[in-house]
Amino acid sequence: MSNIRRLVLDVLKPLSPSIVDLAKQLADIQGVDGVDVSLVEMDAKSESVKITCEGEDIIFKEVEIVIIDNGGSVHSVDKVSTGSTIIEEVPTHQDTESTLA
Amino acid sequence: MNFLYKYTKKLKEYREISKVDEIARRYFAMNGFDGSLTILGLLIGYYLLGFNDPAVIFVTGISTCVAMGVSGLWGTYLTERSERISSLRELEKATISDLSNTKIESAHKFAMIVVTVVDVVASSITAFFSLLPFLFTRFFNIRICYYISFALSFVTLFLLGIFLGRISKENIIISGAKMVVAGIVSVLISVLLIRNF
Repeated sequence: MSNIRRLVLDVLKPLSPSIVDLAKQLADIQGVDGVDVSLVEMDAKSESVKITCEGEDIIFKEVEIVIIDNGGSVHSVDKVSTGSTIIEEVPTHQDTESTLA
Repeated sequence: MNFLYKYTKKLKEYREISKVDEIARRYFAMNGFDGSLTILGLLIGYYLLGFNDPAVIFVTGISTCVAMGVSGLWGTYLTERSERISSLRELEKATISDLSNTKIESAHKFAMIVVTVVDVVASSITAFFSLLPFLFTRFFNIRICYYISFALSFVTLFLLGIFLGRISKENIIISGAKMVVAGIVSVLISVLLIRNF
């Protein structure tokens, strides 16, 4: 089975540990080369974040374990890129039409 | 060495998650103050009544320390536990997830233990510190021991004031003096009560 090279997750987590600590811990996972965590929405006690992990061979379960251990929960897996190269999403006519509208 | 580094890193993380430092500082100052004032009150009572048996003074002082320690152990642990459980449940509601067996739960458990230990140690140590001179009655007159004990109590109160002053970044001398005033008020009330008894 081919490797996961990029993973985009929608996560709801408590304010503490901060996204700085979470990003560092995710980057420490074997197979993950880089991590981006961006804040989407903030509440009094929780925040929604978009986590993007890139690497040669990302093990989804391990990423999920780190997120859960930090009190977060994966709401949705928004994007997964697999294979020997990362393929970017190609815009189609429908996408162009919806942008024009 | 690697284990030690990992362990300290984990503890630092727990401290940050549970925000235990602020609460522990508060408990330390409050209970240190209680311990010091309680023993000061006890010693003032003994002194004004002309009590001269160092063994009885020391033993009652120590049993007071133990009682304060046990009170701190039970009271603080149970109070802190209910607060922590309640805040964990609220966090679970906010994040719509089960936080059992996570770093968050471990951090809260760590905070309960730290706060309890700080509470017990602060009250017992400050109280014991004032009792120390009564271990040396073989070398000093009992009256001298009383005076040194009173002085040690006021020094402890002053140091606690300095500690609070450093936290609030205010004048540490004024902060220390405020705590000493509390000791003087306590002594004056005790003197008035015992003289009119």
